[in-house]
Amino acid sequence: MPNQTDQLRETCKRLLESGEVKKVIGYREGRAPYHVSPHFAETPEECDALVLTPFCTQNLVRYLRGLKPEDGKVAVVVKGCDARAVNALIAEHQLTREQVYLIGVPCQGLVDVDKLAKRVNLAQVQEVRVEGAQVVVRTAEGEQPFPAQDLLEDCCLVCEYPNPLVHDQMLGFEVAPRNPEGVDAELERIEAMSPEERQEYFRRAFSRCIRCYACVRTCPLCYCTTCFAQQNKPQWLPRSVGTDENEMFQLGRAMHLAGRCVQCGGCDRVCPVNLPLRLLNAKMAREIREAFAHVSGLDAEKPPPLATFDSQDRDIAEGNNYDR
Amino acid sequence: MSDVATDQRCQPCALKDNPYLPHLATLTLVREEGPNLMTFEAQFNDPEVARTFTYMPGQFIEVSVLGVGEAPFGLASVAGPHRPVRFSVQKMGLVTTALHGLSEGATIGIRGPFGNGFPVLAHKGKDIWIVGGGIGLPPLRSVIEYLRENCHDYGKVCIVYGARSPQMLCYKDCLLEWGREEAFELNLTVDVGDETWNGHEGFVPAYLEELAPSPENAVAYTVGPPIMIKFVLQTFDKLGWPKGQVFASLEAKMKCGFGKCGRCNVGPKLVCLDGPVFSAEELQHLPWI
Amino acid sequence: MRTVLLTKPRLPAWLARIRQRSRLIAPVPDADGVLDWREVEDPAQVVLPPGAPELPLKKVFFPPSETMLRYAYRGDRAAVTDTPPALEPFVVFGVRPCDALAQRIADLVFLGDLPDPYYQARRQAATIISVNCTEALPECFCASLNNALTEAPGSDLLLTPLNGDYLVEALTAKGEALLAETADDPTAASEADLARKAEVAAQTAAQQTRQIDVEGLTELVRAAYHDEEFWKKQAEACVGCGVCTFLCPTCTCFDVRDDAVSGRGLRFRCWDTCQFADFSKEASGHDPRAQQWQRQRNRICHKFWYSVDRCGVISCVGCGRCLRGCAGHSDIAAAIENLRARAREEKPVTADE
Repeated sequence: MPNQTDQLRETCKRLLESGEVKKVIGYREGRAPYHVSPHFAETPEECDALVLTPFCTQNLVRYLRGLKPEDGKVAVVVKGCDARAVNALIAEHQLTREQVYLIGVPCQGLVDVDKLAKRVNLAQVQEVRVEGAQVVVRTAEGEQPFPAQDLLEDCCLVCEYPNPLVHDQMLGFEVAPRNPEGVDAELERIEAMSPEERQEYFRRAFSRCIRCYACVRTCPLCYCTTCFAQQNKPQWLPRSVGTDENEMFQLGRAMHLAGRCVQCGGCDRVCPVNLPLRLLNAKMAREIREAFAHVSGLDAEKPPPLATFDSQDRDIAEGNNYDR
Repeated sequence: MSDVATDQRCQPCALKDNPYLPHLATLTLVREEGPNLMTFEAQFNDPEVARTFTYMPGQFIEVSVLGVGEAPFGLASVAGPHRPVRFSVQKMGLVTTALHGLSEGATIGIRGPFGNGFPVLAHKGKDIWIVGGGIGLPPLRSVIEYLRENCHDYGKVCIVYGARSPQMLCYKDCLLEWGREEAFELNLTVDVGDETWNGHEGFVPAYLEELAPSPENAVAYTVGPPIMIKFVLQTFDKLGWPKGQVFASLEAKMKCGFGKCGRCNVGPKLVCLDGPVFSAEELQHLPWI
Repeated sequence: MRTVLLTKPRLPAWLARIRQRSRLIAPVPDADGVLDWREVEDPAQVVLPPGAPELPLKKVFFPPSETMLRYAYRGDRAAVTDTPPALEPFVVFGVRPCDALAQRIADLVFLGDLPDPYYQARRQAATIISVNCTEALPECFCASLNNALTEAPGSDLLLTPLNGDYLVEALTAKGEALLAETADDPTAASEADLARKAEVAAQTAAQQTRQIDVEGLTELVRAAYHDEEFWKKQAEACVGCGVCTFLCPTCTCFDVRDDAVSGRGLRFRCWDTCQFADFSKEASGHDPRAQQWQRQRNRICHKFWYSVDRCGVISCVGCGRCLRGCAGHSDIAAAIENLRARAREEKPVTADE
């Protein structure tokens, strides 16, 4: 059986050759065996650079931003979380299903380079594979297995939807979710904190924010032309960097993503000062799920609850008034 | 540093050695100039600054509306002890909108002067062609008034000025005065005229080509929208003007005004520090449009 | 200038003495373990991981945001007070040579022509103690660009770990003075120690796997300027965030803004970047760099061309932060390699063309 990468390259070549798609967005080798970069192929030859590794971290759906119908169809390699982002964008009318050809990749989880660096000398790493409960690291000295728990990205360890829920073609077989019950120990640790502790924890983090907007710019769902935090007229919050302004920005973003974030971990990963953005967004997602039974990106027909008004809403039916 | 022949800039008049601190000034004139265009004159609150603040034609200032921000404006006046500083403002963004809301007596902040200005000292004895478009006239007024005050040092001064419509010609009072000036030749044009207009119709570069100025012992200064500048430079080329005799003032988004904040670069040049005035010779190597 | 040996166990005591004399700033983790340039309370807090720490030294001299003036209105009349920066001397410890050099490059902008008083005050107040690298990160490439590992320009004192000891070199009068005042009976260093230092530097340099070939680079960048397709390709994965430039130790662009609450307020500056969509966008809507590829081109051109034209130096020091942090996984060294490949592929212009 051809391996996933060969299958991917063949698929993409066929799509470009037949003219079915104008462009393929996938991954190519990066600057090291533990690194990949987004790859944009417009010719069949360029498809030979496509790879799939446990380091395909970026949510490539982000690169669909600004895609116009006249740009033609684009093929995108999507993992479980990425496919959910596509659904979410379709639900919000930012994209139509016809604009994209989705090459689904069941995802066993991505390897966290920082965690890897703590266990092996990165310079020695030749290849890394995820095999179920194990992550196998090959170096010149041979292969060494590690428990997946120790090396996978946090967002992958709590992932409930590793298989692309929407796709035009699936590469390989579906995998079992690592976290079918939706357990998130880190999140529960934050939830168990007193409000004061929690505030201290997040404010300490926000005090580190340098307002580079990497979180915003890398997010597939942050598609506002201008982020509210960068708007000039009106200026919602000052551009100055300080704990209060940063908090307003980060909480504003979290509110804006509530019920929309697909927990791909992109913002958390790119943050240069390690803000716990995954936790913040996971908390919002849990709140939304409990209040509205909504999980972002499961259904392309279902808009996010905070962007809808329903006269049958439970609160309205029960006459709840939270102002009191 | 600027390649403009003989840099003659006046250095910024810094408050407490801090070039970011504005001198406070009071608006002494607020005049509606045209659609969305207003002219302001301000007098420095500190008499010492009012006496010593000096600049050359074509330099610019950073004007503050405290609480809103700062924006750069070309100086439209000629420097002199206790003379008010003049600039004109088109309503565009935050600061310009705030300025339009101010009345006489209001406090503003002024920093500067910044930039190199037009090399008028190096061009003594020459004929000067002034080519302006739209709101490019206010910064050119600083040159024209300077030439008027120093007319014995220069040959003839030919002004070519145009706007989209008669209504959009600014500084109409000045235009009348300049038209009466013996040493001046005033050529006005509008893109599209109306019933009040019996002058020339057409774009500035086309009019310039009709007027066909001779490059002999002459230099040209131009300010206007980038697209106009582009065609004006082409016209001078066509008319056989050496590139070293044509100077244009560029605009860019600026914050600091003296080469620190980094946003006004055009290739390796900073508009605030190396410009805003560049010779056509420099511009041909710069990705300015 | 003095060159002495300091045994490793004596380092904390030395730092403690410096700490008694003035503020001491170094890479210190917060409760979440995230390093930043923070005030040192106890020398044991200082952490020096291999390579340049995530946040650049520039943050100490050019904070992400700072107040420049305060104002108050009475009616429509205003009064302004300035906010001069603090001038007490302080010491920065644990600076990597690339960062120290970067600060010297930033000086060319901030202190050139008309000096920036806020930056200047901090620079004058600071003594920089660099600690040489013994281990390169995979993203480091300083050795191909400069002499930071051997000469550490921009440092007042340079510490090079030699097995159990630190070779301490005073590189400036400021460093010399600090050493004289705070070193507790140090051993004079020998020629052999200096030779060992050179070995350490060479070993660190040898660990660096990537490089930027600077030969004729400015000309290459200049020649590629108008090759739109090339720059578009380079910037394809760029998401338009500020990571590369905010983390860059030589990027010094800033924004100036006012913040007002009912008649009083302040003017501040904050880090800004040519990568942001509104950086050069004029109020009229005109933007000379309206597309992301133009912004990335500006960054590369600035590092390898504009800086050379304006200040005589390449303003990339090879710290590797921009590639470590890039959300689009770009690599400035690879971009330069592509630039060279482009130049090689370019058809020579023949007479009949």
